[in-house]
Amino acid sequence: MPTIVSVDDSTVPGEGSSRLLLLVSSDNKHIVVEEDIMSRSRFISKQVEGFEATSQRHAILLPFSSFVLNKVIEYCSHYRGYYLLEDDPDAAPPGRSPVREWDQEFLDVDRNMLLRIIKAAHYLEIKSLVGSCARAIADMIRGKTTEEMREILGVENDFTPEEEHSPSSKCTG
Amino acid sequence: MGLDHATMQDDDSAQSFWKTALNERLSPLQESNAGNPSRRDVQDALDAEDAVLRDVLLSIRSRQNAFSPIGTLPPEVLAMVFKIYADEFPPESYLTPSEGSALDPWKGLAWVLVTYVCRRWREVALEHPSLWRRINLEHGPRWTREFISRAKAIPLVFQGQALFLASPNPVITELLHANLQRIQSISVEGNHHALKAITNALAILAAPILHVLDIKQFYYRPTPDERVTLAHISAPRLTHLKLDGVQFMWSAFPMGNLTHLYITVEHRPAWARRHGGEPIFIPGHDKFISLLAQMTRLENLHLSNCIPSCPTSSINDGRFIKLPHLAALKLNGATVDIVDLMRRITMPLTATIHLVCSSDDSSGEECLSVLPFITGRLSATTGESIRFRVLTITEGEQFESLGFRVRDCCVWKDNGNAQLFASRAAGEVNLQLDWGNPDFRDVVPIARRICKALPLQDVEALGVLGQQQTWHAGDWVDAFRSCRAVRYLQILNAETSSLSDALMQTIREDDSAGLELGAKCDRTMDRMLFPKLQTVYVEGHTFEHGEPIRDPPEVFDAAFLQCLQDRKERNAGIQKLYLVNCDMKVEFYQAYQDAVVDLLGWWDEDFMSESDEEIEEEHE
Repeated sequence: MPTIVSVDDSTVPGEGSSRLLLLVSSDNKHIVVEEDIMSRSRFISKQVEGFEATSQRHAILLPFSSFVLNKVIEYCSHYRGYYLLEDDPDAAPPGRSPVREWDQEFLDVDRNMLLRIIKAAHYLEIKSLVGSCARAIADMIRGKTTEEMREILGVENDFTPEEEHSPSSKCTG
Repeated sequence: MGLDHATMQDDDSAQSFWKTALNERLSPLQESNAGNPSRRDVQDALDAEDAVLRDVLLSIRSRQNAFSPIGTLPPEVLAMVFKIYADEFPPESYLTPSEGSALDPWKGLAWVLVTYVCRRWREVALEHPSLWRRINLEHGPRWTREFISRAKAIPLVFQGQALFLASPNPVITELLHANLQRIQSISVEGNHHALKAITNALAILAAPILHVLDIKQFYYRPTPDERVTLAHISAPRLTHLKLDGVQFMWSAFPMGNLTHLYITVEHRPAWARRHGGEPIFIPGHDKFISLLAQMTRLENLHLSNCIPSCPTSSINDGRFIKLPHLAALKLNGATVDIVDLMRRITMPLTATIHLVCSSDDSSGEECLSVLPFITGRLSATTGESIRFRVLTITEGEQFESLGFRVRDCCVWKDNGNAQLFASRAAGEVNLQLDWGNPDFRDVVPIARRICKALPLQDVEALGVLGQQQTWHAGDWVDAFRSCRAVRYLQILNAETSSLSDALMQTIREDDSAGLELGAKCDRTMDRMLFPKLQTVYVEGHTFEHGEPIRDPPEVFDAAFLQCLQDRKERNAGIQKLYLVNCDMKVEFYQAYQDAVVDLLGWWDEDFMSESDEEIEEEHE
């Protein structure tokens, strides 16, 4: 659960047609964003529902940096008003995550940034962004050997020789 | 022993610690050596130290992984990565021993390799049974058993091409029998030995959750002994049934729940079997109509060479087949039988229709008998929201058949290089007609008649995919004079010099041929063929084998360039011209480029195909 601090209503305008949210990143940057933009995040939506129940507005503290948060906001802004099946809690889960050209360009970032974005998206419960990031990671390891996968994603081989060849041998048949 | 804050910040302290620890551990061994213990004892002791240190090292690596960026991903997210990878990169097909020896043995495992990267990845993969539910039979009994085990209790999907299984593998057969109750989908291709093992299992055991059954026999012309027959199946939830080259007893199936039915009993059309071949099982006409009438939930119906002949007494017997949910219909058979079925089936106007009509009549007249039905349907359809904007005519390679597609393109997209034709998914075709007959010698007149019969005034993109037939200028004008909205024209493997002539001619309204040969007296664009033409895409054209054919000789394929010039003068200039995989002589390349730039003001090397680039390299 995030840490929630009370804020003054004058800090975060909460009335009117365009309500704003105050998001606080782990590096203590305050980012004001329209609630509508972040409605794709189930996590944020649930927080807002909580605000409405208590009639109090809060800043939402998030456990990732402003750099990552801004990327997520950029994604949400791009798809503002768009219906994405993956984000619909009432829809059946899609069989395969769709390929969206804009997402591919948006996620053309280095490995660590990609992993930070997917963790943030998972925390914020933005399924469409998690799916796109997962696809990008899958693309990075597609057709690679185990050694190449380790190198690409920074993983060490921690198998014993016996474990490495179990639970099944590498050979088919 | 844990790492305190000081040691975390001091590499030297780690080195000092481990050196001290090693000395403490190994010095007594050296002293023992001096005390003359057996060398074997010392070696064993060192091996023991080595094993422990290896474990320590692996433990450190595991901790490194846990703190790495990928290591902190929640397991469900990592599993999603694996799922996407598994869906798009399934284990490859079966490797024969000879191939296997030459190939990397890791390669065939595809996504399964993630379980060999590190302990955590393996744990995550093994803890998500949905990753293992798709079982490829080609990987042999060992992996089949492993996948079934790892999938735990979730429904299974069996698939694969069992081509290399010369005889049914007893282990796989046993696994199939043992797990039939939890199999949701079976999709296999194979020879009769492999497939009979599956059909036999289905005949004797219940498949309570089986939704999809897709079986295809490889052999093109199986002998009676090789013929696979599905005699019975107990699958109350079956919704998708696809049988190709496999006979089945129609009345033994629970048909009422089917939403997708694809039956290809025999690959060869009737006319190809007229000189022999074993009989195939098809129910009588009356029974056939009754069975189809029961399938009221059908969304896709594809019957190929299994439509029983309609006896004369049954024509116009008033029996209809109501398919209110049908989205796609494909019928392949004798023209008279298709006409009979089309007369009976009622379906939504938006349903995709693909008819493959065969006939003994080499003139094509009999095949055209389906046209009145189609045009009647089209006129009803076009009165609604559907307007046909894309037309593709295909000359078949194998049987000199003629394919004909009309499709609606709701989202019109000017993507420059006319790739709108590239998408030929069946679902996008509103109407597709194919006529086939080995005796057809000239399909162009038939195509002309079809085009004239259909409402093509809204067609904006026209494609002609030729193989052998030549479209003369008169054919172009006669067939497409109503297509006055065409903006995109794609020509594949077809002769373009006649098109050049056609594009320069003037259409005369009162002439049945629609063409004043050689006349260019009317200089207005209103009476031109394709007056709104903007883009021409030519692929696979040999420009008269690279020879200049007309004046001026320095210009390559002068007829076409003359056509471009002519239309430009008539204010109907073509704005984009694409030449892909066209064959031209190097010495004419520059001349052609200069001419096109002069006429169109546009030449973009980026769009050049590989063959064009080769030509350019050769030229340089």
